[in-house]
Amino acid sequence: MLTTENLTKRFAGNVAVDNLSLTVAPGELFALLGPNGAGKTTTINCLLGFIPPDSGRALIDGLDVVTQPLETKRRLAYIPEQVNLYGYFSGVENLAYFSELAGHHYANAELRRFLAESGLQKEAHDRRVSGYSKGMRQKVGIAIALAKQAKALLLDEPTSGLDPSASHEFSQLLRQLRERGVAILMATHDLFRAKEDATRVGIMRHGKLAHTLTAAELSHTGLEKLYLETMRA
Amino acid sequence: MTPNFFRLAHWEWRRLVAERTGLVLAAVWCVLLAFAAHQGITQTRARHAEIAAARTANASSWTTKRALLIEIEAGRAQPETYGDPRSPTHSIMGGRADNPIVLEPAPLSALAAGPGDLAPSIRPVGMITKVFLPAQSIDNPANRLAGPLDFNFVVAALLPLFVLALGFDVLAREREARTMPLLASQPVALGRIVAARFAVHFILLWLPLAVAAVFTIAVSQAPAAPLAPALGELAVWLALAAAYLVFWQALTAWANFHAWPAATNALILSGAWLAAVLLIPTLVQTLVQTVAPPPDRRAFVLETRAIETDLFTRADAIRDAYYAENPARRPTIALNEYDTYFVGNLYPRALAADAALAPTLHRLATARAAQATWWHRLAWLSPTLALRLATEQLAGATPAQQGRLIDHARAFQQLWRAHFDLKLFSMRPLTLADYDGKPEPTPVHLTLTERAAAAFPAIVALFAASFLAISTVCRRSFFS
Repeated sequence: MLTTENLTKRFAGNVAVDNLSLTVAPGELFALLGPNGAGKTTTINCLLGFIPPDSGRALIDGLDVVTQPLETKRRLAYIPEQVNLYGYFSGVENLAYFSELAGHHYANAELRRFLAESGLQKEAHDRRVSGYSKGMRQKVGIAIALAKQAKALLLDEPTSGLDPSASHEFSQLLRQLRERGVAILMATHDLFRAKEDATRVGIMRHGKLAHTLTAAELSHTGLEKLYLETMRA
Repeated sequence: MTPNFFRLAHWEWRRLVAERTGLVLAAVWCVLLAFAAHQGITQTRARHAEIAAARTANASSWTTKRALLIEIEAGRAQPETYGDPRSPTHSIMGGRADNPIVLEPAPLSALAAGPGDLAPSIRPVGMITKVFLPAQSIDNPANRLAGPLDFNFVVAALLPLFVLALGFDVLAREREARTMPLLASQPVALGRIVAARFAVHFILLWLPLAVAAVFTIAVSQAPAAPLAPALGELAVWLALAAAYLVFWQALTAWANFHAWPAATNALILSGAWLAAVLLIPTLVQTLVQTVAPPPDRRAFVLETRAIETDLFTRADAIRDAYYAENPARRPTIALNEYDTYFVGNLYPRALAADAALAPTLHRLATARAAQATWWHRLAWLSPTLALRLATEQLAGATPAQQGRLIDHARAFQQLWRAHFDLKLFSMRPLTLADYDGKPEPTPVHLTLTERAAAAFPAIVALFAASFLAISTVCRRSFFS
């Protein structure tokens, strides 16, 4: 579903992503670990079509993101580290707007169902988003992804700054999405969440995938040890 | 499924309502349009009323004199000392005998009302009227303080500010509020979202303009004038205003697509406004004055005075020369002092002054035409300039078009003199045939063809600028 083929991206001569090839199948959650500057966000931005690769290809459901940007965006949802929404709209209105952009026109009750499903308390549905906490905005972001009915989900450090409870709720949702057959690529620094949620883990360094492991292959301690060893190498 | 364009526009409308700033801007825009409508209606109605009053007064004066003539000839009335309708000096000399030559306001004149009273619509014409002199200024100083708040100014100079205020951050705010990643990850081209947003802005600005302009034109027409042709002309002008609005929207979109901060967009677009609305027109004015110097009003007045003073000192010689050339016009009766002043002094001098001033007047007309040509040649440098010129041309408000009134007045004066001057010089009594056969003043009517032809270069310049701006913005990369 999510594929990069020899993907390479340079910024001012510095290699951000170096000949990266990876595949995330439907129902799979691939956690990309790595320090800042390892190329995680650049990989996601290439898959979103925000930046064109210098060489190689990024594919969504077999479609090249460069040549078919709208078709590929139709198939994926994206939750950035900070879900920023329109402060002057309520949660329901934001969800309705982004759903319209994605080509879906939902009834009010359906929109509220998506928000409830993503864990946003009912009292907040009609409040202006400018008064929302980061966790609440993140939940609206998840509702947007749910409403889009995307086949692939790109997450860029989605649990950064969330309290443990919100982070746990988020994991539950990811699990549900995975069970529905959504392919998920998540860039994260959270080793614990990666081990808990991911079906596969990749450790990036200098734009390359240094290690790829199934979560079952590693204990939490083992993942941390491997991560630190990779960084020191 | 791609979202419906109207649904996208609907959401921009909801944003404007939620944010309220757009609605405040729209309210201010409507207030300005109301001012412009008031200005246009007031000025145009005043002109129609002034023209009607002058025509009524003129017709009444001649009807009264004719009726008195009939009564005197039938022996039922006696002539007054200075009111004998048979006397050429009593009847055809003096202000009450002057004929109002009228420049009929064009159907769209209310759009370019401006100070309004700077270019009178009426020229009184009689045997000795100095039609070549500029009309007496009846300028109202308050109008200068308020500025020419007519549709032409409001649309050409102020409308771009509203376009910029509504749209300068149409994408920049998405980047600055960091909503762009979520927005850009949706299966809609950013160009389409921006187009929907600008469509709402367009409606917000153009619709009130259209309503205000239609109302203004409908209520400011002459009482008997048909409304349909005026509305047809207005439709053309509204298309011009739409093209102008779209030009500024395209410029605003172009700035937004360059990923500059909102503040940078505001600065660049303000600079563009300053250049198009103020700097380029000022430079063009300077250039036009250099290559086609305007008629020097002071020099013209001094030249006129010098000629008139010279003629005054040679009044007797001029009269004698005239009688020598036109022996049939020599008075057949002894003239009293009153008649002598008009017949032997004032009128021959008026004829001589016209002849002496002919080259100067020709020079003025040539300079005016040259200036108009240069303004048209340089109109394409600024869409604002093009719109202002096109509007003034369509409204019949340019100096060249106003100059038609003087030309027509001079032509009528020739007819008037040809009809009466034999009777005036010889002081033979006027008859009913003289009254009934006198030339009737006809108005100057600037036809649509004339006005459209004059406005054509500016119209082409404006549409070309809009097309160029749109085609630049609608590059494939913005819309894929």
